[in-house]
Amino acid sequence: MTDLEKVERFQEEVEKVVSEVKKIIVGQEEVIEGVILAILCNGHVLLEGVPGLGKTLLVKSLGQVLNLRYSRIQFTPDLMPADIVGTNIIMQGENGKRFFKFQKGPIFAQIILADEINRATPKTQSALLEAMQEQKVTVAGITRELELPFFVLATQNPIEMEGTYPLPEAQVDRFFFKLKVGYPSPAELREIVNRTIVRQLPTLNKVLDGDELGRIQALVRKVPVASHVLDYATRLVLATQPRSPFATEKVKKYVRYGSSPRGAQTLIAAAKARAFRKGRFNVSFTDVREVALPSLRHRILLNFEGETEGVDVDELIEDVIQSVSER
Amino acid sequence: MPLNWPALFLAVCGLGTASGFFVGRFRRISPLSVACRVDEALSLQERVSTAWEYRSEGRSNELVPLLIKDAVRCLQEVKPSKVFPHQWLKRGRYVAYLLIGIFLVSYLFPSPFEDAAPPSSLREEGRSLMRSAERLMEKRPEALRRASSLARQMRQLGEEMYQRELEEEQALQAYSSLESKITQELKMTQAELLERLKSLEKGKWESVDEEKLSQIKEALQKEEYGKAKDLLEQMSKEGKGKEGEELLSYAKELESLSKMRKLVREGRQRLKEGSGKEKEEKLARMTKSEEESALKGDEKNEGHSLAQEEGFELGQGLAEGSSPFPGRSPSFRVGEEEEFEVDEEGRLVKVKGQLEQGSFLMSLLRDISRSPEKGGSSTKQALISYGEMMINKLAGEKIPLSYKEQVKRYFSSLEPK
Repeated sequence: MTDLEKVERFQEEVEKVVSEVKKIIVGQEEVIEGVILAILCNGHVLLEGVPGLGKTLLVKSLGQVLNLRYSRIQFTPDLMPADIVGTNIIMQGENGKRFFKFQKGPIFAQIILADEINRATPKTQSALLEAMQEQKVTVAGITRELELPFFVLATQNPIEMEGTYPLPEAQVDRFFFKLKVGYPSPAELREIVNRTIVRQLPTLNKVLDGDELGRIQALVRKVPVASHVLDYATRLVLATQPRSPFATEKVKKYVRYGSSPRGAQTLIAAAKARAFRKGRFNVSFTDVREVALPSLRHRILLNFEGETEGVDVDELIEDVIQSVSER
Repeated sequence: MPLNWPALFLAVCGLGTASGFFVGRFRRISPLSVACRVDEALSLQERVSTAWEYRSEGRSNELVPLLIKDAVRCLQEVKPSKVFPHQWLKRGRYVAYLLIGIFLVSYLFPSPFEDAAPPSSLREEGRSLMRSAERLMEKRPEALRRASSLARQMRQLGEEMYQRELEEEQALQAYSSLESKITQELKMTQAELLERLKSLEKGKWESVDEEKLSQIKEALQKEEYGKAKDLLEQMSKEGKGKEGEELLSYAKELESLSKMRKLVREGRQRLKEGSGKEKEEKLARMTKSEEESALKGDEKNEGHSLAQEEGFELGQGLAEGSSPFPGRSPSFRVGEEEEFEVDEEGRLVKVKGQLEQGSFLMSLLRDISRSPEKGGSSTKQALISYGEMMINKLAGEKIPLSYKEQVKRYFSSLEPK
């Protein structure tokens, strides 16, 4: 098989994944695409939207299609870290001897649905930190590797502030993308009703396994990026930082902290994945621009003035994209 | 337009070319920039620039060859005009600004070339004169010595005018000078022919048609050279031999000279009309005055009237001290000495130096002719050759043009009968 054939086959397989998910999820194409891009880059996704928009269904569907071990954690205020990562429990052997045995938590899966992640306490939320970043879990001094690929797809409700714990900045930064799930259009809503109430939900096929996905991820990392495109991404990220010479007036006025270097890494990785999805072998300026919003929106922290004036971070990023030139 | 447009245009073009070379030499666009431009112009999503960069830096992975192939495929359909479109409107705007700038500058500042460059009419006139002279030279055989020599001078003048070696004023002066020369030659030839005709009357030919001869003389007096030539041709055909041919060649020369004078006169007139300067008008007045005085041949001598003494019937000799013509003022004094004489209309008719020279030469020649010598014909011949020498000498000296003719006629009249 030639390189071209291999690439084309990988692209077809990813397309199949998307098609399978679309059997269940009506509309939300941007969200689906965003999740796929994050998966291709081995990144975690934070899905934000009001209840009932299909966030959980999307993640469940992906888990089925990708033939990966899937687990769901419903975050509640009384959820403890051990409930996520697992704990040592005392066991008694046949000879009557007692010993500790590690009981793996739901984190030991490949696709984790962290549902309503902002309902858990920060202590519990931070239990996800090591797992998300290092793909390993340390319990009682013993570190255990997580099986790859490993994705955390978290959802959160932006309107219910009562009894919620906003995610700490450090944890938010570990999410590759933050995707906003919007309301469906009238036609999409009609189709949702048709599919879920009138007809039987279709059965999903398993399209891609972990090994195959790993190979695709490796290939996506190899997509060439020209230096001037890289420069552009860098300037975009720097422009979100209020003390940077590239910062726009709005950024200087409303932003407290701009994107971290991890934002630039995300931007380029996601742009590579997008180029791959579009059937190209290189990253373009358009790729960078298209992935800028989901990559940067959760990495920008507004200052007091921005918060009080209700500044939309997405608008700030759009402004940055408009003001930073390609060359 | 006061500015010399062709020179300015050439200067601007030269400057533009030099700037282009300079900019092209020191501000070269890198291949990567060109690749970026191609990407941008054809919306190739940075395919070409990325492929170029990876290729030039030698970076490679399994996707790079695919990228290069993809870029090459895209480039196969590239049209350079699409990548680098002509921006006529954008560039044309600057050209328009430049032209407006030149136009304004040409009006605000005087041109350094204005005085140096003659008007195109002068050039045209020069070319026309040159061609006419060439035609004359072609038609006239070398036997017509005077006409040929003057035609050559005419051609030279035309060439100088055409090659812009003369200014307008100089050209006018040269025209006047040439016209005077032609007139002078014309008169001299006429005088010679008349002399020859006189000798015919004295019986060189066996049968002379007196009536025809008088008709020829009359035609010559009236400057009807064509008619004179025709009559002489008839006489020549009637079998007058070598003498008849010589007379005919005189007539032909007269006709040629007359045509040349007409040409030069017309050319000068055209030039004068073209320029319309006061200075030229003044010059024209002076030339006219000189010309008239030359044609009329009214010249005063200090104490001699050759026409009276020698019975010179043509009436073209030097005049007596008191004017033989009515209404002439006798002299005009500047300071102590009598410098020159003018007639009632203010035209210059005589200069002191000329008069003195004339009287001296005349007395000298008269003495020689009266001296007893054997073989009268040799004395006559000596006088003729001496007269010719003097004429040639005088022609080379700086004498007002109209007086050269007078002096020549004077010496011609010294030829013994």
